[in-house]
Amino acid sequence: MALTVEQIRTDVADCLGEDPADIPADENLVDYGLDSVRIMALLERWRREHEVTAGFADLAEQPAIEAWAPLLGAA
Amino acid sequence: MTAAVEAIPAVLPLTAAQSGMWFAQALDPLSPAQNTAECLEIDGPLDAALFAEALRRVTAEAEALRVRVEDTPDGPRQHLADHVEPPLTVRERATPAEAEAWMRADLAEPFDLAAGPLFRHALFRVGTDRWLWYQRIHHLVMDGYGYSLLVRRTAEVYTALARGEEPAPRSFGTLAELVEDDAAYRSSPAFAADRAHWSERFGDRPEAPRLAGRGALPSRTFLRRTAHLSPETTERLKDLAGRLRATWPDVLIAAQALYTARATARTDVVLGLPMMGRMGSVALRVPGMVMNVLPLRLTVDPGATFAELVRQVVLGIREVRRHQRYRYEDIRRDLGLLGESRALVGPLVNVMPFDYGVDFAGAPARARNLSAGPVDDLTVNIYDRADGRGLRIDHDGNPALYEGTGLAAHQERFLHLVDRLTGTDPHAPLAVHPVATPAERDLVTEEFNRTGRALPPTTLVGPIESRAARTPDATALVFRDTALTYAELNARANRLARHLQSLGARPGTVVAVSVPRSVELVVALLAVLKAGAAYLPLDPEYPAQRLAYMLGDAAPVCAVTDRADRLPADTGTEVVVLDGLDTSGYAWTDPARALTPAHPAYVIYTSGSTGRPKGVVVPHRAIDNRLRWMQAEYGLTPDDRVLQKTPSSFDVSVWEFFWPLREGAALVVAEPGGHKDPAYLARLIRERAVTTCHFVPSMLQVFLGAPEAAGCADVLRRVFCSGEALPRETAHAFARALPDVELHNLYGPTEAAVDVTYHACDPADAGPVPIGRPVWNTRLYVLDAALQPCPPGVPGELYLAGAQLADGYLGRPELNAARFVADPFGPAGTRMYRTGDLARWTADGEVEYLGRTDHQVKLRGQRIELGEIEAALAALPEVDAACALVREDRLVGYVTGGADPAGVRAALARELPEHMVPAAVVALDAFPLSPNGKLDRRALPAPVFAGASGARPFSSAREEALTGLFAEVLGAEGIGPDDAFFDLGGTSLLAVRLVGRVREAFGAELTIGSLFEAPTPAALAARLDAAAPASDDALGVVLPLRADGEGLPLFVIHPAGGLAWCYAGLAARLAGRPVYGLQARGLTGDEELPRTLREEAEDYAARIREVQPHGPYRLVGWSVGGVLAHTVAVLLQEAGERVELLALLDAFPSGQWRERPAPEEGDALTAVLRMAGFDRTGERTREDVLATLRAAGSPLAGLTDRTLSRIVDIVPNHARMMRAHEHRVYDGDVLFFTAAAPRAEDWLTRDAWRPYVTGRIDNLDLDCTHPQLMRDRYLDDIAAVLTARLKELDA
Amino acid sequence: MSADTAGPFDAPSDEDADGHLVLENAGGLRSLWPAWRAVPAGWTARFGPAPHAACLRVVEADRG
Repeated sequence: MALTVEQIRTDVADCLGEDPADIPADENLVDYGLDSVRIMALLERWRREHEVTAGFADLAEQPAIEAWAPLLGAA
Repeated sequence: MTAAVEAIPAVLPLTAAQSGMWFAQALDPLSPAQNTAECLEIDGPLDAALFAEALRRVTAEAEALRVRVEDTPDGPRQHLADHVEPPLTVRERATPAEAEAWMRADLAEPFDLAAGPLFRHALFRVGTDRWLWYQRIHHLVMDGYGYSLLVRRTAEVYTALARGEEPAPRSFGTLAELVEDDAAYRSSPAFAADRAHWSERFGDRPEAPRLAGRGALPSRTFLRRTAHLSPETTERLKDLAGRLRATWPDVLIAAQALYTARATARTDVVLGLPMMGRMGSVALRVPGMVMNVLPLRLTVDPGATFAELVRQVVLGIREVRRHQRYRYEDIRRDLGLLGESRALVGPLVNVMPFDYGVDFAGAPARARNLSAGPVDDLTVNIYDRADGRGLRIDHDGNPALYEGTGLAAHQERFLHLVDRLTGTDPHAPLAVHPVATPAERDLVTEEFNRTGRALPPTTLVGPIESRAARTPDATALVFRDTALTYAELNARANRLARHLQSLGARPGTVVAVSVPRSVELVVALLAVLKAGAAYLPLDPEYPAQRLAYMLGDAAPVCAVTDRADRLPADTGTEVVVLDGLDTSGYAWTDPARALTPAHPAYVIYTSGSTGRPKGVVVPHRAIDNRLRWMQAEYGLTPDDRVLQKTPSSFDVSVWEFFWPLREGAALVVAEPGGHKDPAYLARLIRERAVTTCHFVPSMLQVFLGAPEAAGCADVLRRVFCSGEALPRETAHAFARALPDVELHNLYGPTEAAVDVTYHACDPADAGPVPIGRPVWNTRLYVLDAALQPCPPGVPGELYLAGAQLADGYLGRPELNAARFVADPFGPAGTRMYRTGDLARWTADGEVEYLGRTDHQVKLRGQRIELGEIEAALAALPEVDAACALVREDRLVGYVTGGADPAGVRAALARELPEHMVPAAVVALDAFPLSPNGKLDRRALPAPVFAGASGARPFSSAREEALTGLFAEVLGAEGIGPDDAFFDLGGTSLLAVRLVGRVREAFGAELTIGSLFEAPTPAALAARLDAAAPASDDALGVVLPLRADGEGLPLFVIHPAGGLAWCYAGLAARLAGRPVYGLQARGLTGDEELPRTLREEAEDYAARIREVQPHGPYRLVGWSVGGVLAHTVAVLLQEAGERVELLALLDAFPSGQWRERPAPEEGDALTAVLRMAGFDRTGERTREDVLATLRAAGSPLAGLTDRTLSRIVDIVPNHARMMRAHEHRVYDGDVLFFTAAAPRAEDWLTRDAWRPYVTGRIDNLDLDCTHPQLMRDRYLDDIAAVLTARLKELDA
Repeated sequence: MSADTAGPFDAPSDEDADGHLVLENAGGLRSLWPAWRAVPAGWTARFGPAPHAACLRVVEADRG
């Protein structure tokens, strides 16, 4: 099942312990507490559940939902 | 992403991240500490040739691997090579052990940054289908994340090649991108904002929590303990993290914070977090060195919950991450910590979650880190390699701070703690978690406290009465010419007791006793006890106001005094005056009384922190336990004699008075005031055959210093110490003076019946003297801030429990409730006493006293344990005893013994961090003592701090800052911009430190030589302003030690090593005169060494004439320098010049040496070491010698290898030339200084100069060895004589 | 215990925090006690959690 932008937002919010509504699509998630460990955890989950093929560096390079969507097949 | 091929700049500056690594390596070029290494275990077939090809290709792709780093005048530069063949060692057959050994050996090899390559590989086949791939890379070019990029790419390329395919293209980012990115950041507003953030967050400069209790420079190696968190615990950890909406690293960081807080007794904890530093950056695709370490500051409060602590970590890391590009070194510099060599963070927690699930054409690989880089203190590396084994946890420790067992203990406790935390409600207070393991907890609370001993319910006085009945005719007491038998003493005390009973004395009441030391005092104390009352000793020397307070507070039924006017008149207490009191009407037999062990035996006042003395009420049970234990431990016999010299108001006197009387021994009572007179005490001990006595350690030190003390060796059997920490040096001095006498160290507060711990000193022991183990029926607890037991080695507050606890403070319920508190470890409903002393258990169950919890001093924000400074002072060779305190915000050291204060300061500067070196050291003949024999700190004299007066205002900020650095390094205040470093007592060692500080503060290159040339803050500022390049002038033939000044210059010629730096101290003492050093040619360049001394002397004569064209000349030389000075003098005279001063410092003419074999290179190495003040130990080669000098921070180590190496050539060349030299005759007088200590070369004599000197040879003997001549105390004498002579010549 | 912090029996920096108890044993002895630590066997909480100063006042008032 392909990822959606909303699912990305929900998962990111979940791992940051924030409300999805508080996670903007266009801002740097590092400012919201996203770190390499959390990216790895998200990536593992998405690989398992959504057959995502993006690598760690792809996500870490531009840590924002907007930038991730195409990489994660949630265009 | 453009991957277009562009011209790559072949030379790049370093990024800030790389610069830090470069600087660390430059400090110790031969250190392998910057090596990082990893080993991949590959399970499956591997084609070594294909693997080599894969490495070749990856090397071609990764620029960082192809650089070498050169130091240039503009700073270090990385040179990028187009092609580098990867160094690869392949072993097709190796056992795992052989492979490990090879890797270990390789890891100990330093890289040569300037030569490169800065990586190497090895491949071992350790089984049919099992390979080990080892790679070592210098940390300057690679970090942990970089490894993961390299490994993944290597696997990818190998796999493709193995399938016969061309690997997919890969575009690693370039180094140029990293450099650009770095430069862009450093000039961005974000950089300034980040700087402001860190400066604000750590503006109070918190102290780094140190598990070892101290810091150290990084070592060349590290200790590692590897463990795994079980898969189950790992699972629970991840589950707990999920429940707390955190990640598992957050939870582990919180666990480490909790451990660190408890193990260092702090609530404010700063951990170091190594960060990948690549989020949202091009660096994500660059294998290279980017990582950073950032401080995470946490508050660990025993009342908070673990969930709250984890939340703090999550939010804290989030904040850190927003400012993560700012470099750790920059934060420290901004905070001024660099200069003080102060750490900002305690342990590092390094979490490496990088995805390592790689395979090589289907053969799975598992990575194992071998070295993560230098370890300053302690680094906890945590790896999640997703291999089903749980998390791997490596504890890496700096071997200068940790031993294997200590590191293992930290790891084991951490694992236990993590296990507990993952199995406990995270909303419980942190206080429920001990940091000790269950086994340690059992050890320290139970095993070490197995002291239970059933005793009969007796009182302090009962056994004395039984003894008197059994041995009535034995001598009980001796004072002056009076001796009392047990029967006599008992009868007198009984009569007085009956009189006191008639005045209301009975069990549960108090009777004051204020009688100077005498027979009557003993009788009075005994009488009070016999009456059943508790005695309250009042020192007759106390001020009236204090006596009145105590009488009012304790409300005794009466007070016994020797004279009518002993006590203040208006207290309302009934006074029993012994003088003229007739008790003959009372019966002599033991009086009846309803006394039980629970009744109070005595009340002794101690000083209260609030200024109001507090009366400690000690019951019979407690002191009876104490005396029964003492008898069982030390076995007093009827032929023993115990000295009574402690004032009765001090509780040590309790055992002095009553222990001998319970055991049939005799009490020898000292004169009032006699306890302060060592000669009197020694005489008394000898004449009265005293076998047993007590000293407060500072008084023991005084006593041992008295020549009479050794005369007590034949009679004394045992000496007890208590009341203060017993310095090991005092224990050693005791063993020397009184070799067959036992020395016992006891410890205890008045609140626990005199003493609760004991330790027998062994002359063979070293280190701090423990206070020892608990006495009978006594339990000791060392507790942390959560009231949990500290494991051995971890400091905490000492609590006491058991039979000896006092009832409490008289009439102070709030104080009792706060000091005598519920005991969570002992029998139900019992109390423990909170001592306020800081202590720790040793591994074998003794306690070490570490100081007070409330007497720490802080100086400029730095916490200082005065005890540590005192120990360092006392450990110096010529210091007998020492103490340190803070005066006017400056640390002052006081010493007794023969040591020279300036020398002491310099020696301490060598051993202690700068802030712990006293600003002044005062030498005293003896320490002032208070009435009870303790050191009286308030009576210590104020020191005089150095520093010129009338300094002009600063002309620039840089001048002001430099002046501050001078003051800091010299430890003196009031320094002005025109004061010269060496005139203010600067040593060459301090010069190295100053140069280091200037480098850090201004980022300016500066050599020691610059300081000789520009010795004042003003001159140095001008020099820095002019941005003059660093010079080698300090190695030139003419070294201006003081170029300006009045009068004719003094020329001082180098000793065998060729450097004239050793004369800095002499120049400083010849204030106002120009002084020029002459140094050997060839220290810097490729110049040939001279072939003869005459050739060398001709050169110097010419150079001297360049400074001073015509005579009269003044020449000085030490050692070989003296031989040269004589020769130069002859040459100048032969040229028609006048030489008016030739001073030879322990220099002997060539003829004396001719028949002696010239030293080999080996001896030259010894000479180099001696120049630096070291004895040669294990150094075999030049490299070894250089390593020793560097390790010790010797100024010579600041020289380049090349120069040092030249010195090793210059020394034997001088020895050779000396033996060939022929002296001619010098026309004039010689001033000679002999190092008169016995020497191996006993054939040397200054008389050998006679044939070569027409005039007198005036000699001064100095009580030192040849190398010691340049030490401060001897230079003082030399300079005094020289100055007098120069003044005569001036006139 | 160390200089940077109040020990378990000291007044905390937040003086109004209800951080302490007053315990009593069978013998009528009183002990101040941090509220975050389990009450030792044989002792019973008589007062608190309350501020440090309030606990001491309670003990002092019982001076008799």
